[in-house]
Amino acid sequence: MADKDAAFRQIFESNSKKIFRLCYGYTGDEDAAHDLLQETFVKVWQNLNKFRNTAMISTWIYRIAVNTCLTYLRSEKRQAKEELTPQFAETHREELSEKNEQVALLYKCIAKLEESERIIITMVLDELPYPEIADISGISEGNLRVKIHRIKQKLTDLYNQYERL
Amino acid sequence: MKDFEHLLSVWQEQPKQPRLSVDDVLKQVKRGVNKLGIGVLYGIIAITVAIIFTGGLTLFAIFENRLSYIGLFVMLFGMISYLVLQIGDYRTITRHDVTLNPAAYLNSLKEYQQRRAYLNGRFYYAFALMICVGVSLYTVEVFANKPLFFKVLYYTFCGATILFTTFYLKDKFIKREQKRVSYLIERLERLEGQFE
Repeated sequence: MADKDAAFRQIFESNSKKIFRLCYGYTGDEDAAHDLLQETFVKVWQNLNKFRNTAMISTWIYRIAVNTCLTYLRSEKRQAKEELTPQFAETHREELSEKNEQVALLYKCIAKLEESERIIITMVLDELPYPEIADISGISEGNLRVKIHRIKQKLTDLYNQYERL
Repeated sequence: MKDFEHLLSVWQEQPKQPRLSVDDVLKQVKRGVNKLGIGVLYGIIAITVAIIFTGGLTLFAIFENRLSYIGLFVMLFGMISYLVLQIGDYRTITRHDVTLNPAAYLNSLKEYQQRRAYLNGRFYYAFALMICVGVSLYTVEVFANKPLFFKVLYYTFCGATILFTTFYLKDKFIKREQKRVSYLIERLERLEGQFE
């Protein structure tokens, strides 16, 4: 058990930041992102014994996180991200520095994408190799390249559009 | 006019950090999750306790009238059938991990929905009937020396409990669960469609 704890700690320290960004990108809500991060690592712990090094551990964790985000079904009370993000940005406006404003705007634009697009783009922004993204999202590499190109374009357009406002 | 490289740099330089510590997560992982499964598990525990109690009564209490034993056996049969179905439901809902294999979980969820419809529909009425018949037969001897007032009060209470459970509590509980399961299925199907 102590070995498992130690292994888990190491895995958490090396992956939690990226997984948090993925969850935050998906939900646009910091509290929900923490919930999803926690849920992901609960699953990692529960299935750690089944992990057989056939894939990179980070890919495996990403896959769990992506599925956790996609099945973000915990409560009907939660609002969709589109409704939360502007409100979040509004209430925290005074706290936002220029850099944070850009980050908030980026999250707001990600929120306008479809759920599957949000997941893919956060992995692209985290510079995961395309074969790994294809593996995690279950899309063929050829289709993925086309899809990523389209999402990048859509996100950039949205960002420029909002920035002008 | 910003390009995608700019968005990439914004993303990578973002100061946002998770405030969750590894110790918090370790505490949580040792507690476990799965809300639907836990609900069914409570049902299994409750019915198991009732079976043990009724089984104990059947084995160790001495009755003169054969009807008392028949009543107890009818109740036991109803409760054991209920337990078997509940265990089946639990196995169905916990067979696949939603985060590791959402497609297989979706199929399990649909199967679970059908099983629950049977358990809460046709089977429930058979179960309620078995419990009513069982209690009626069991109490023939047990209440033989009790005053009429007590008998009337007892049967009224039993009848009211069954009516309350059947027409209010059951519907309320089932509607809540059905709503949740349908929501899960709808959401999983929609997401599955997005990746096709």
